[in-house]
Amino acid sequence: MRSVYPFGKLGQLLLVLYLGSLLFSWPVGALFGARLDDYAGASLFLQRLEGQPFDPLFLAEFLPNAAPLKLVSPLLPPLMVGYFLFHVFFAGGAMYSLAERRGPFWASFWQGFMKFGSRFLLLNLIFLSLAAVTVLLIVSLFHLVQKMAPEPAGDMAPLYIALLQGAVIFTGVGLLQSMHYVIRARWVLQPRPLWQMLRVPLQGNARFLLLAAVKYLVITLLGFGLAALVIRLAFSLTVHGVLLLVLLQLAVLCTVAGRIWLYAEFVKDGRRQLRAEEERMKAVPPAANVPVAGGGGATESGTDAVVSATGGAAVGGTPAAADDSPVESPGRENRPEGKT
Amino acid sequence: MQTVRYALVAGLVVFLAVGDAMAECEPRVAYEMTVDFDPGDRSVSGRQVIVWRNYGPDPVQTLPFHLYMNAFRRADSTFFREDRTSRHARPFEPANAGACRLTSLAIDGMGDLLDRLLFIQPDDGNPADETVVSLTLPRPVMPAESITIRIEFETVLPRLVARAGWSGNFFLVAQWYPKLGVLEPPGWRGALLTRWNCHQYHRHSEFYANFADFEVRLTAPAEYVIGATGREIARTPEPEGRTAYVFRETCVHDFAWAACPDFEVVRDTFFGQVDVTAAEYAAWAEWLEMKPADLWLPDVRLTILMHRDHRELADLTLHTLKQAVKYYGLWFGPYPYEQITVVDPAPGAAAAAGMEYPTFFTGGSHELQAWWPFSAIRLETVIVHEFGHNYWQGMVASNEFEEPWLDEGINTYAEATVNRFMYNPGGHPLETLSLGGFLTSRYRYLQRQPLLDPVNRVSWEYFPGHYGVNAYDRASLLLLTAEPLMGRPRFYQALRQYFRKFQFGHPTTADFLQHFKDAGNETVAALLADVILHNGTVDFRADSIRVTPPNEEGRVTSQVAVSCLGELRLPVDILFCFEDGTELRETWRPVGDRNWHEFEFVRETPLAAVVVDPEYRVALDDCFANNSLTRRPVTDPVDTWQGLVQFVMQMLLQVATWLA
Ligand SMILES: [Zn+2]
Repeated sequence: MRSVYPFGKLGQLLLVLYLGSLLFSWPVGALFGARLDDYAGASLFLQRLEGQPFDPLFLAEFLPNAAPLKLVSPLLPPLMVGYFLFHVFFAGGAMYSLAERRGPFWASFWQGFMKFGSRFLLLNLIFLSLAAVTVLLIVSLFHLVQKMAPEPAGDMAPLYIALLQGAVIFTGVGLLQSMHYVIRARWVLQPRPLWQMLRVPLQGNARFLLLAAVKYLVITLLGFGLAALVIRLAFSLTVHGVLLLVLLQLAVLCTVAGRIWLYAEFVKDGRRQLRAEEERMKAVPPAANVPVAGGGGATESGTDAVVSATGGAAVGGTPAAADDSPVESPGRENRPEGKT
Repeated sequence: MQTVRYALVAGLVVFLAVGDAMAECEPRVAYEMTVDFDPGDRSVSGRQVIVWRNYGPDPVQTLPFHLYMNAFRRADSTFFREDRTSRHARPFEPANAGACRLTSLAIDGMGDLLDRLLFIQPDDGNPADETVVSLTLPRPVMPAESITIRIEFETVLPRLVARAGWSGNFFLVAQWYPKLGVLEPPGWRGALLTRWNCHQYHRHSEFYANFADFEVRLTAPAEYVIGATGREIARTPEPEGRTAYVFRETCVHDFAWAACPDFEVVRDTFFGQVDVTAAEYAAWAEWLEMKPADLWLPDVRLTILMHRDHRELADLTLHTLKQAVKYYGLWFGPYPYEQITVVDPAPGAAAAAGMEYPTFFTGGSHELQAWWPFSAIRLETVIVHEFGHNYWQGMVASNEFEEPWLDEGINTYAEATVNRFMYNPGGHPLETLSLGGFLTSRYRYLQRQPLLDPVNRVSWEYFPGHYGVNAYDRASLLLLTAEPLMGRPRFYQALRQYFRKFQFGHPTTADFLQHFKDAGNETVAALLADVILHNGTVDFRADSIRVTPPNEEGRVTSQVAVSCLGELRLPVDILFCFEDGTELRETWRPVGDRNWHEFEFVRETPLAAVVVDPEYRVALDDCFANNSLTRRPVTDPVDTWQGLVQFVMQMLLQVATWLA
């Protein structure tokens, strides 16, 4: 079985996400560089830069005039949306293939990409609105408190308040995100209708959620922190192009790896939860309509309709209707084998 | 011994120099005020005696007064109307309004005249503006006649919106008393007939007044620390836990003060013989072609009222202030007053930061500035700039309403230059964020392109958002461009002479241009006039390089086209780089209506690159990026930048997927 994954599943996913990330940012950088190259004689101006510490004059001079930047700016919104969608769909493929234990890696990745990508997008839109409302609430709350409170003493006070607000927003959103990821992980393990899935985080392990939120925050901050570091280096040293590029790739790899590790953690936890439920099911005599194969349920498309029709009261889901499915239900695979 | 002798000689020279300078000043009016400060009511109330002598040749029947705190009284005052067009408009809140009310007004020999007051709006006819009041006298004041005006007034300070007001327990009290307008007899600033010049309070301007003598007796709660224009000549305890202060100054055009219980007072003295070395005197004397003895600077008492949250920055403030006193003194002439007071606004009072009043100004610091990397955002520039206003507007008292560039522009140039004396230029990218320096001016200049006004305009008539870039940045870059055209020492000398000529006077743009015309450099005179009066622009470009194949002798012909967009006709250096490494320099100056030129070289090696203005001397060039052209692209730095852009892109994308 393992031979199907030559670099290991995580390694392959890492490669996909990394290449995908490059695909989105590299053309812009290349375009900028190429345009800069023939942009109205900027080359000589640039040559002066070589061997010198970062020259702020360049920034002052170039940014307002930079045709390459103007060229890039209309590309930005579609790129951002495209990259967002790529991540959501990638998460579908990644989580599904992490949950799936049989069959070729690429097949399961692609299957997850196609099937769960759209579901994740729907889920994401719900959580995005939740996140927006949360941020709005936090900001208004801070606004209200600030209005009622006396003048802040000292000029660090507004800064501290802003930092505190940022931290609260960040934690709140991080918690929401970890709930969102819990649902994702459970969804690929045990597909059920969306409205049933939304209850999953409430039944889950609060400690895990909190810990996951922290991990999510750390990974996100790591990404921004690395960015700040590299930009700082680039601005203060004479950074050669190659060195900068290496640093850049390292930073991208780190954040990408962090994300995939997070996905794996969530899938692992999803399995644990299912197992726990299964144990509980074993202890209690099964209800008439609950299949004996505990935990695992539906697999393929089409079964969801059946699920919603029969109602979601049963913990174990609906009869597994897909014996002819090319890929076995990941849920069925969740036997305590100790390997993931 | 040497030092003692130096000090003696210097002291004598200083005495003569200061006496001389002050003698040139003729105070036209005297203010004597006795006021009470009540921080609870945020009010200042009291009596004022103004002695004014009609120094014009004609009888005067009206007297206009500024009542500038009324600018903060209503939402539709001219100040708030003008503020609304800015991006950072501040709303008017009635509870935080300010006002200046007269409760009695009498002139000796003419009786009570309070009923004769009428608000006027000479600038915009906005009936809601009550910042100028006109008094029609029962009989004219004859030439050379003196009158004594007795006023009782109450000023309520606004919560800080801009410049003056309160924030918490911090008070900056400026433009707070009824102040006479300026009588301009024929010949003054181009006046043909005797006229009053008394502008309303505007978003971007507040200064133009006669040189005057002030004596202010101020009582305030004892816990408040007070700093003010001029010298403190008395301090006595009063009943009910109050303290009375007396401040006095001569030959200043305004009087402002600040109060806050959280000020920590730092005192020091600038010693003309210690803080400036003999070598510095000698160097400047050579620069300015003067004798070192003529440059000696008098001692100045320095008082810094530092908010206690910023006490770590007191030393830096003091150090910077000494540098400013030194360099402005050496360059333009000694600071003639005995005292300078710097106020550090309290946290949350940023609107009061960076304000200049005679012998008194506000800096502006933030606790963060004590920490890396924010320490790179320089506190120093604001100190140098505001001190510089003692020269430009404080002593050369041009009309800030009508010709704001004359003080802000010249002073921004002087400040940036003094900063260059003080520090190595360039360095930290965060410096770009700090206020000041040619780099920032250049950045703002490029950002606001194209500029739709000449440098000189009435302060409220610039294209919206273009006041600052014209009055400060472009004017500063203009002077920086003129500097090498004239030769730096000559230019410094000319500016010094302009200062000396109009010290304690009220020059106009025409006076400035005439002065530089007289200085004898036609190019500079034309450049100044073209940009200050006519919105002249310039953009040098390297357009093309063409190289023909070698002829039978093996020589190649290289043709280079360069051009100059815009109306300015400036000489510029062009650097030609050949493939064998040789470099050639030529000077080109566009003439008449021909905006381009072609250079041709027949040599063994072809031309590799051309750079117009390689030292970036034409600081007004609209775009430096098109100044150079190379036949072979240089790729290494491009890689660096493309890597950086890719990185920034990556981070932006990460933000996009933060919630994915
Ligand atoms: Zn200024």
